[in-house]
Amino acid sequence: MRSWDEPLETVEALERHEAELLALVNHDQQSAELYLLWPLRFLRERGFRIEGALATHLDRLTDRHAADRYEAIERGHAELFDRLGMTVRLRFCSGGSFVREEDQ
Amino acid sequence: MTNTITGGHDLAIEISQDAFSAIVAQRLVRDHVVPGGAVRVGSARATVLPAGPATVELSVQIDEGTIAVGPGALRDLAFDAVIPATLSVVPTAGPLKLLVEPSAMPKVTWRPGVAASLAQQATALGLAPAIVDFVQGAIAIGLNESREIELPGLEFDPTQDGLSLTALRACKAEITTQSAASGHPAMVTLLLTTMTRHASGATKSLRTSAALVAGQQIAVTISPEAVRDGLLCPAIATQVGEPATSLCPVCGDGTARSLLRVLPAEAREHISAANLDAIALAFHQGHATCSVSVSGKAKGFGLAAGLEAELRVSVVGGAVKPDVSVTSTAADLDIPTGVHFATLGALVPIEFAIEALGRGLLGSFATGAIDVGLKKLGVLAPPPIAGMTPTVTSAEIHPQGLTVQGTIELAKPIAKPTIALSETLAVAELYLGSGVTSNVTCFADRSYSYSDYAAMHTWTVTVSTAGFPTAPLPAISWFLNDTKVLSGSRSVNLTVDGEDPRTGVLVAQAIVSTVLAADQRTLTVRSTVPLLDFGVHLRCDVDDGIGVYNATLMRQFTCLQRQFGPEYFADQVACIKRDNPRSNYLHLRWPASDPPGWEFPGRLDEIRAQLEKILGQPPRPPIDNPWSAGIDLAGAPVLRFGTHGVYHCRVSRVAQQIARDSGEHDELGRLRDLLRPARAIRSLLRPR
Repeated sequence: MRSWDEPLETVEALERHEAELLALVNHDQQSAELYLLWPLRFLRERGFRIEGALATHLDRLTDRHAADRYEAIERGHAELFDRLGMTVRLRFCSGGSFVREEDQ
Repeated sequence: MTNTITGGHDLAIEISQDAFSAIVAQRLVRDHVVPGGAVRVGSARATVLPAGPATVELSVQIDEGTIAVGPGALRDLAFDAVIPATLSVVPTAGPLKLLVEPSAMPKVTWRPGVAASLAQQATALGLAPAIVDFVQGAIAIGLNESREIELPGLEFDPTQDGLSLTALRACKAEITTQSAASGHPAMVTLLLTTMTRHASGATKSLRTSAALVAGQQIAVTISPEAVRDGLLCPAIATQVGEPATSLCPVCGDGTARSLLRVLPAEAREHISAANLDAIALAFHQGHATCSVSVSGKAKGFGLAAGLEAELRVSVVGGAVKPDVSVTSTAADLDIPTGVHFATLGALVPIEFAIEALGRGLLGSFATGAIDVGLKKLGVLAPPPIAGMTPTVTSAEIHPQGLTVQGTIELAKPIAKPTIALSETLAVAELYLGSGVTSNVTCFADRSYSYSDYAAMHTWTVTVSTAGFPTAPLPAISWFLNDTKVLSGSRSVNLTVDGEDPRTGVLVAQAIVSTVLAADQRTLTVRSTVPLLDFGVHLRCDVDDGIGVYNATLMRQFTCLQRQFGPEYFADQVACIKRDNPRSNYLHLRWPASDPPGWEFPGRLDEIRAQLEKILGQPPRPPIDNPWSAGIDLAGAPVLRFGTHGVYHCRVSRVAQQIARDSGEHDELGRLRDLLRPARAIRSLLRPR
């Protein structure tokens, strides 16, 4: 069974699948940008079943106006940091508590 | 790595043979070797020829040399001198100096040329060898010490912008000469190694090309390594708060420098660490690229950023102006997946951190450091050095480094000393009395009333000098009729060849008062015996210790002005009309303020033509300037000069006046020639 066939309902459950997650987000610059912009949508579009508290948690992290930008990046019409006037390369790595400071 | 221009050194300073020779001639020969005293050099040129490693022959041409001989001087002498010497660079910070050390006695030969006749005379008299020996000895005496020559335009000011550029101090130098080649002039090249330690350790090699192009006189090429280590690194070190001499990361000491202090405050809220990792500089044709790498940490994630800037240089207002443009910036963000969810939550903080990095670190700091470093090259713009003004004309970046070229305006040769006298004359009239006289027109039986006026003259003469040394100042002496004028206010008895115009009695002495200014440059003469007409010969001597130069003036003081009534002039007109068939075009000029005089417009043209025929050229002002021909009190023809209105000059004295105006004072032969027009004028004016 593929790992993301299981429903993931907590941060801890997602942490257990970090290796798969990293492989997905570091596949290319576009993937990293999409994940950074809207993690819940990015994970669900790639087969992760995010539900329950984790879905609520990730949804809170996402900008409500991210939909248009997400789709523009996905179609290759924009880059996440194109308004900065510099090239920004993203690379995700292992680590972090997956818990916001204010939640601790 | 081979640098074809610097040969692996840090700096190549190329100076055209002409400019270098002129500098040497001025600094060594004219200012030092033969200072005033025994031999004065009016102008000199030097040729630097290779004669071995760091050894040159200074081939000096001395023109207009002057040698003191007893109370007089021999002038306009010309010599060729060959001075064997070695050249080396003085190892010091600040202006680049060359050390010139004569290695043998100079060899001097007489060069007939400007003073060919003098040379022939000296040769005929057997004096030439002695004069040559004298000059040779004088130069040898002048060369008894080594001389330092400061080269222009190479001032590295260690205090400018608070940066220390002691790294550019030359510690080793080689001097080479190079013949003219296609597009390049013959040149003298100084190859300098600075005290900077280079990580790359450039390999010394043979210099195989030159930067200096024809038409330019100086080119300074700084190797890429010297630009990096001598200019860029000190600027960066200073910005990060380390000693300017500290090696920056590019120089390979492996120490990362914190850049937090150069970050703006708002950036420091988001970036907890920032280090300068590396700077790379690469020189290409037309531009250089500079890569700056930094690494740091934001809250919970890592940052690695790089900038690439393109450097170009141009010349603006005579100084090298660097132009830095950022061509690309990039940031790599290492974001732990968990940190993303834990701390960021949205893009704004990330964007802010990246912006801060780009603006604060890469933008203002890196480009600022590059800019400051390159601006140090602006010191290649002149400070002018004592008569030599270098001007930067071009700057170019190429694979061998940065080359700045320019011209050097060299001091003009010393002109032959000259002196000139300028004069002003003021006249005050004093009524003396009236009377009646006869036998002054062609009507012998008629009498005429007249009034006599005394003219009091104040004659001020100023001497101006050029081409004399300023130290010591030349001594100035004044003579009136060969009597020396003493300082201050004095009464002077002059032995003159004058006469009382009323009686025609010759007078042997006149009295004038003189005032000689404290600086000896202005003499004022006042006539104190009003009823005496007399001439004064004035001479001004300027003695510079080698020879005496002089200028002279002659001035005729006509001190009695007799003014007749209108009947006298009516009879004069009648007399002239009677004797002159062309009297129809005579007219009377009688300015109210002037004593009366006659003007002959038609005759003036004739006189002018006659003067031109005799002199071989048109009469020069003021002869040609307001003037008129007329008759004087005794009925003799006169020429009136100048605008004073009361100054009459008898024709017999015209020659003296012409002599004065022609600038020839003492040559009797010339004076005799100039007497001819006086006779001709007299003939023209003689009533027919």
